[in-house]
Amino acid sequence: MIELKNVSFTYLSENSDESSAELNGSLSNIDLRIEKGSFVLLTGPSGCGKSTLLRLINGLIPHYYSGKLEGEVVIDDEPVNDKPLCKSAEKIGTVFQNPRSQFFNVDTTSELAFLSENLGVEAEIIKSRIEQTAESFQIKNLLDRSIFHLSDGEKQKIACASIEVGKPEIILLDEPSANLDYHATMQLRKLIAQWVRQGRTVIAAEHRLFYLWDLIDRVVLMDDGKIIKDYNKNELNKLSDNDLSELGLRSAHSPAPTEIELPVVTTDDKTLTINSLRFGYKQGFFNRSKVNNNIIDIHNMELALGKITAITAANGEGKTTFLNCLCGLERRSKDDIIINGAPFKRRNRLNSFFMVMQDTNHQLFTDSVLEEVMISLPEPNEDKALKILESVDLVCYKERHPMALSGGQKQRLAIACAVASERDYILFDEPTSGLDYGHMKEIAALMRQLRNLGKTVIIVTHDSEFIEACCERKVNFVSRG
Amino acid sequence: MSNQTKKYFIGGRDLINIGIFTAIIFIITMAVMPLGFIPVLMPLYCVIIPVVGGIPWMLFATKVKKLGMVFIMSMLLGLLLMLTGMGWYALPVCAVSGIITELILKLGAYKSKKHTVIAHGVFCTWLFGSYIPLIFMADTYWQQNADYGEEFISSAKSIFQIWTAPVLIALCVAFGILGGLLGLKIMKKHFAKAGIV
Amino acid sequence: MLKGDYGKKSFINPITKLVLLVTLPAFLMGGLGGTDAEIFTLIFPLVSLFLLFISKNLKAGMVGLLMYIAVIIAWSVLPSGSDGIFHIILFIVVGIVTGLLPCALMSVYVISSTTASEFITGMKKLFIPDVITIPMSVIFRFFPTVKEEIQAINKAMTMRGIRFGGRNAAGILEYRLIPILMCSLKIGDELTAAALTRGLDSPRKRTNICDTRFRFQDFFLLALCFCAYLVWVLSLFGIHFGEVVKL
Repeated sequence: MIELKNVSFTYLSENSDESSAELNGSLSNIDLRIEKGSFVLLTGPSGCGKSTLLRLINGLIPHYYSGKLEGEVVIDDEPVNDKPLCKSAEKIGTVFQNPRSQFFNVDTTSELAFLSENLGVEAEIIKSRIEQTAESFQIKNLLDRSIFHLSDGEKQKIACASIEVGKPEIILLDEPSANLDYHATMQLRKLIAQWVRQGRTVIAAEHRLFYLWDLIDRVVLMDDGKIIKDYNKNELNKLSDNDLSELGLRSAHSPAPTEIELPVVTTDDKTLTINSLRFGYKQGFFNRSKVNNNIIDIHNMELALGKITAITAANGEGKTTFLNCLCGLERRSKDDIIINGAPFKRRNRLNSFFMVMQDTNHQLFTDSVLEEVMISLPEPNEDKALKILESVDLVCYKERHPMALSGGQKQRLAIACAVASERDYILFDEPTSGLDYGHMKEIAALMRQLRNLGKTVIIVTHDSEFIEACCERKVNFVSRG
Repeated sequence: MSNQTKKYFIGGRDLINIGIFTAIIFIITMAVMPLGFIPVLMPLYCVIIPVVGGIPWMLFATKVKKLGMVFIMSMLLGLLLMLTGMGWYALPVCAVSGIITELILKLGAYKSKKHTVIAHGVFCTWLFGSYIPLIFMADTYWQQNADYGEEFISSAKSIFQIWTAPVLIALCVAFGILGGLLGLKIMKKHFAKAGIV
Repeated sequence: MLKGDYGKKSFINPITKLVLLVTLPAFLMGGLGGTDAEIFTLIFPLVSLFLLFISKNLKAGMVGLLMYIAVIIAWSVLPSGSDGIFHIILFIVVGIVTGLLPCALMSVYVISSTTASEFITGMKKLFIPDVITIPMSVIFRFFPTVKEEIQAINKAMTMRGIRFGGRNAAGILEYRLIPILMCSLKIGDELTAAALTRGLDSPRKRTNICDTRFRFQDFFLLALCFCAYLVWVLSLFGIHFGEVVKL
């Protein structure tokens, strides 16, 4: 059993590598008891403290994140505060949000062995445990492979498997589906369901509720570091999707993005036509393998101009590459794209498309929000820049360093830069990953704003609620066809 | 492990930091390496890499509070040089430069900015390891081919002479200090502002 | 190692590779053993070429072979004993090709044919401590990640129309290096948290599941290296094989 007794915690920036925005998430006077074998969902708006709570349980607080801690955290009658992390690692496994940054090794098998190797378990035992886990998680085909060749969904599977090898009693999940598409999320659900069936204690911090809704026993709703409400199973069944949105939460029942009914183009639409688009990667000098990643081979796709189009796919690969090609970033792509009856060449596209990438950290360079917008304008003009910042509600942050903003704020900044660029076509790659309900609605509103400015907005997304909130057209993407 | 001992012994997170920053500095080194195909440009290693490498290094220095971290980084760079065909001669050079750098940092109690900048200058002498075969081993090569004429050998020797060694070392230190100062400036402008340092 | 080809076992053991990696520069660039070991200066380059070809790294192998042939031709065509700047440059180039190149080719072989984990295991078997092997793991794990980050950042810059540094000459550093550093720090932070929750800081002795075996080719190559060292040591004592083996 896990108990938090009157716990309060505030992050201190000394020794922590986090930017100041993420220092939000402090807790005040938390009292919580979690029974063994239950599946608890922690949810609430960004910054409510759910990740902080998980860190208190697995020991990252106070051993990695420093701050002022009051109160007691007790697991199975043993206080956690002074227990070294490696002791906690014997019983508790944590799966994090970002598939790309939680694995330590380069190949999957080593990653599966990592935990046990650290704890000094004998090699033979580790090997048999890996066999067992590969069997039960059905990941035999993922063994002995380079992690860099796996999809994000496969990476998360490996992350789950890597803690399963240690047969943890308590499993913590910190927004594990944030970067996963629908298909991969459902696969993750299967693994979690298995853990639940086996009677493990599972605690998940999540915004996306739909894939866990029927598995959970209890929902702990948090806001601003406090527990607002604690729902048991009966109360959960009585909550409608409306109730949930009033609480600022995502819906519990979401259709798959590919099932949402929206036209591709209507007869009134003017379109951008992709007659053909082909792209494949070349082999590097050191690379001996014949594995080809991400080949795009598309014919006869139409995108409506001046509308908000969602691009969905049954499953992972190729969408980002597609956007890169569309944007004109891939020099080796062979394409035949027509706009207004004339060919739309790659060079022209490079100047007409603005892409907001999945990881906004890759495209923010300067040391102030204002400067970031200014360099996006064709001619630097402070008044224009300030006006744009107003429209995305970031004016009060104009001197802030872009990296000090929260995830939602960075998205808005990227959108501001898109507007500043004065380009007609704006592409988005998963703009709502990891955003809570409120921020998702904000972004949806901004999309409509962009459309009202006459822009053509194309969004690659797996967020069904988001699609329903603002998208008008939809293309089901298949990388070859 | 109690929190007290953690202050003095290098732990997992320190090792990860060492790995990350060594990777970054080495990647900068690899990016500049193609210059080496033109022998006359080879001394530029001692100019560009210390300056650009100063930025990540100063960032790394903010995480160095224990003895040994810098030494490990130095040895790793030497190991990487070996892996890329420069031979094992870099290892003793890296060991020495690593130790001296550690001493300087310790003298500054891991807080003094001045000490850290100078330490970086000294640290950059690890680059010298890649020159050793060309400067010192050339001698033995000529020995194997003594039948190429006295005049020839002496004029060849005059280009890669022993006196170029201290010049290169001096360049490493000087530009290393410059790089350290640049690193401080960038840290203030970006990383401190973003709240990361 | 950067894009490991998994499932295929390496031709030789990682320990053998490490030994070769140390031995080749010692004899080819360091001139260990002097004229007595001359035969090895011919054998070792052949070894590196052979290994490259056998690991199907044809590109690098061909480049190496062609450079050798070019240098041999150039050297025999020009008259010896003459001076002049061209000759000196050629001399340096020859030095590089017969000394540096085989070592570089050996490295290409090792890098392209060894998975990072094999390499780390090899180091552990050679009793290299955890404080070296763990950061080494992180380095290998980081190279491809940094590469991905750099590619993403370059794409973003191109898309926004910022060539090199844009309006700012120092922009190359600022607009490229800074985002890379920031992203690396963030990834490093997440990586550390994840690794710590999986016991990285455990004081217990780490175990290891990789096994490495020695096969005929390993014994052969190790014996070759041993002979080279033997010749060198004997020459220190004044015993020369020069007369016997000289070509």
